[in-house]
Amino acid sequence: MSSVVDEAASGPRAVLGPVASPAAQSLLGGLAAAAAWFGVAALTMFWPDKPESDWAYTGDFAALCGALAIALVLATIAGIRFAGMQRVRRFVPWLLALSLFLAVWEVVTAKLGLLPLPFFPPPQAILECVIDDRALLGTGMFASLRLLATGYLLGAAVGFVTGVAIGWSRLANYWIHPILRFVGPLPATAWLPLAFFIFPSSFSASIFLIALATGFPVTVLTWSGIAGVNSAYYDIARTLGANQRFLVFKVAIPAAMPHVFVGLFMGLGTSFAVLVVAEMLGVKAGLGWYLQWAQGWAAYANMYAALLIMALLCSGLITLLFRLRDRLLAWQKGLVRW
Amino acid sequence: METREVSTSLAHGLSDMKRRELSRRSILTFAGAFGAAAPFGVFGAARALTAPSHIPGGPPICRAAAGGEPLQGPPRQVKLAWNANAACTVAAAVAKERGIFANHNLDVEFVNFGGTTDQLLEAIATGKADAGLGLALRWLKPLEQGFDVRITTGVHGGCIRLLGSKAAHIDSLDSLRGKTIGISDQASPAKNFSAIFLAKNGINPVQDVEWRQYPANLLALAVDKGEVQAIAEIDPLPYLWLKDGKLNEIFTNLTGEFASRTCCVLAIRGSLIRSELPVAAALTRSISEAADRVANDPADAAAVYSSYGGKGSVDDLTAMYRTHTHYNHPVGAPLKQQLLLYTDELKAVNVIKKSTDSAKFAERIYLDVLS
Repeated sequence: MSSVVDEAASGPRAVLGPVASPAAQSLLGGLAAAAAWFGVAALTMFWPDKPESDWAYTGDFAALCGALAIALVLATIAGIRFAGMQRVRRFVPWLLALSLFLAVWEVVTAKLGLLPLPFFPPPQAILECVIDDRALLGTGMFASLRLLATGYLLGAAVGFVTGVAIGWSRLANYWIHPILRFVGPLPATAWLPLAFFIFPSSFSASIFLIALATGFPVTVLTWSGIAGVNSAYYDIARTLGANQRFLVFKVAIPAAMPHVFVGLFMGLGTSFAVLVVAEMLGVKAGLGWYLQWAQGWAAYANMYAALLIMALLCSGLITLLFRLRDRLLAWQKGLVRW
Repeated sequence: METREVSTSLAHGLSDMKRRELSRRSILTFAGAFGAAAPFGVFGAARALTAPSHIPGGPPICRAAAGGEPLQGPPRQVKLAWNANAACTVAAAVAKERGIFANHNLDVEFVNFGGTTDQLLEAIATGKADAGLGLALRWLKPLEQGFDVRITTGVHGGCIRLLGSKAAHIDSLDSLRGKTIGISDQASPAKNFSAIFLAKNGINPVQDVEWRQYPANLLALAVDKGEVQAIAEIDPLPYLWLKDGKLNEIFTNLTGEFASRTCCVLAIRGSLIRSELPVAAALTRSISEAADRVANDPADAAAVYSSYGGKGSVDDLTAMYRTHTHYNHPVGAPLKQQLLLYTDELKAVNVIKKSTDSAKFAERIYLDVLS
C-alpha cells in the first residue's frame, strides 16, 4: 500500500531532488526565517530614527529581533539532528510574514515618520510601555483576572441552573422566559448606575455586571440543550426505573453539555467586553482601567500594549475553555473549532 | 465593401444600423464625459494654482492678510466641538445664540461629545471638528503626545471643586491625608488640579491619598456609600451637590495663588490656522467677546445653557457663573505663561514627562492669532 503512495510521490520528488525532502525544507525554511528576523534587527539598529524623536528602546527592540533570529538558527540546526524539531517548518511562512510586517511598521513610523503621531507609535514605543509599566500591567492583569473569574463563574453557574430550570419545569419557563427575553439583551452600560446604587460596594456591582453578561447566553443555550434532548433517552431511562432526579442529572444534563459549552464560550466573549465597562466603577487597578487611563492621556502606545496583553489573555482563556471541553466531551472533540 | 473602412475596427462584425448608432452614441458619450469632467478639472487647476505653501510647525510669516482683518465673503462654516455637560463652556453657546459668531461672519455648528473631553482633541486633530472648547488641564498631557492643535485663547477661570464628606469629617486640607478621593476618570482635570494643589500644600498626591474612578454622575453616591471620602469634579455637578448639604468645599481652582489662572481654553486645529488664519482669529475673538458677555450677564448665560439641556435651574447656574472668572480670558504672552506654569506643575505630579522642556512645549501648543 505504502509503495503505491511512494511511487506516486516519487515523480515530482525525483525532479526536485534533495530540496524536496522534509528535512531540507525545514532547514531552508528555518534559515530563511532567521535571515528575515536578522534583517529586521539590522534595519532597526543601523537605520537611524527620524530626527527629534526619543524612543529609548530602539536598540532593545533590535536585540530582541536578533535573539529570535538566533533562536531560529539554533532550532533549525537542532532539526538536522532531531527530526522532532522540524516542526518549526510549519511556522516559517507566518514568521516570514510577521518579520515583513514589523519591518514595514518600523520603517513607516520610526524611520520615515510617514504616519501621524500619536496614533501610530513604532514597535519600540510599545516595547517601552510593556517594560516600563510592567508592574502596573502585571497587577492590572491579576486584578482583571480576579474580577473576570469571579463574575464569569458566578454568571455561568446561575445561568446554568436557570437554563436547566427553564428547560425542565413549565412553571419556571412561564415566569422566567419573559424576563430573560427582556433583560438579557440589554447592554451592561445601561445597568451601571442602577447596579451601583443597589449593590453595597462597587466590586459587587462590577461582579453583577459581568455575571449578567455571562449568564444570558449560558441560560439560553442550556435551555436549548435541555429542550433538545432526544425523548427516546427519557423513555429508555424510565423503562430502566429512573426517577426524576436521575432523568435530570444523568440524562438531560449530559446530553445538553455540547450546547452548554457553546453558551459558555459566548458568555466568555461577552464578559471580556463588559470587563472594560465594569472597571469604570471604583477599581484601583485592572487592564480596562489602564486602557481608559492611557486613552485619557492620548498615550496610544500604552493603550496598544494593554490591548496586546488583553488579547493574549482572552485568547488563552478561550483556549482553556476548549481544552476543558475536549476533556469532558471527548466524543465530540472536533465539532466546535477554536 | 471598400467603403467604411475607417471605423471597421471599432464596429467589426456589427450591422450597418448598429454601427451608426454606436458612433452617434459614442460621440454623445464622449461629449457628456468631457462636460462632466470639465468642472473637476477647473477646480483641480484652481486649487493647484492657489494652494498655500505648507509651512510645518511655526506661525506663518509675511502674511498679507494678518489676523486683524475681518472675514470676507459668505459666512464661513465652522465645526466647534464642545461638551454640553461642562457648564463652563457656555461661552460657545452664548456666542451662537446671541449672534456673536454671526457678527464675525461665522456659521458655527456644534458637535457635542457627551463623554470625556479628550475625544474632542482627537476630533479636532483628525479634522472632524475645526475647533473645540475644553479644560487646559485635561488637554496638556495629550498635547504632549503630539496632536496638531493650537491653543489660541483662555475662556474663563474656576469650575473645578474638591468637596469633602461631612459624614467623614473632611473639612480641611489636612483631613484629606490618607483618604480616598473620587474622580470621574484618571485623566480628569479635576484630578490633575487636585494633585497639583495637594502637592503644593505638602500632601503627596501619589502616596498620601488614593484616587478611585466612578462615572461622574455617581460620585456623590460613592460618598454616600462610604467608598470615597472626597470628590473632585467639574461644575455644574459639584456646585449642585454642595447645595444638598452633605459636602464641604475644601478648595477650587481659584483658591490662593490660582485666582488669576484660566481653566478652559479654545483650541483650533493646526491645518486651519495655517491655511485660514482670519477664520481662526474670528473664532478666537467671538469666544472672547462671548466670555465677556457671560461675565457681565450671567443670568442670560444661564438661560442659554439651560436651553441646551444643561443640568441645574437657571438661578443655580447664574449663581454658579458668578463664582467663575469669565472676564479672565488671556491671549498671547499671558496665555503662554499660564500654560508654562501648568506644565511645570503637571511635571511635579508626574503627569507630564520630566524630560519635556516646558518653555518649548508651551511655545509649540499655543498661538497668538490676534496680532
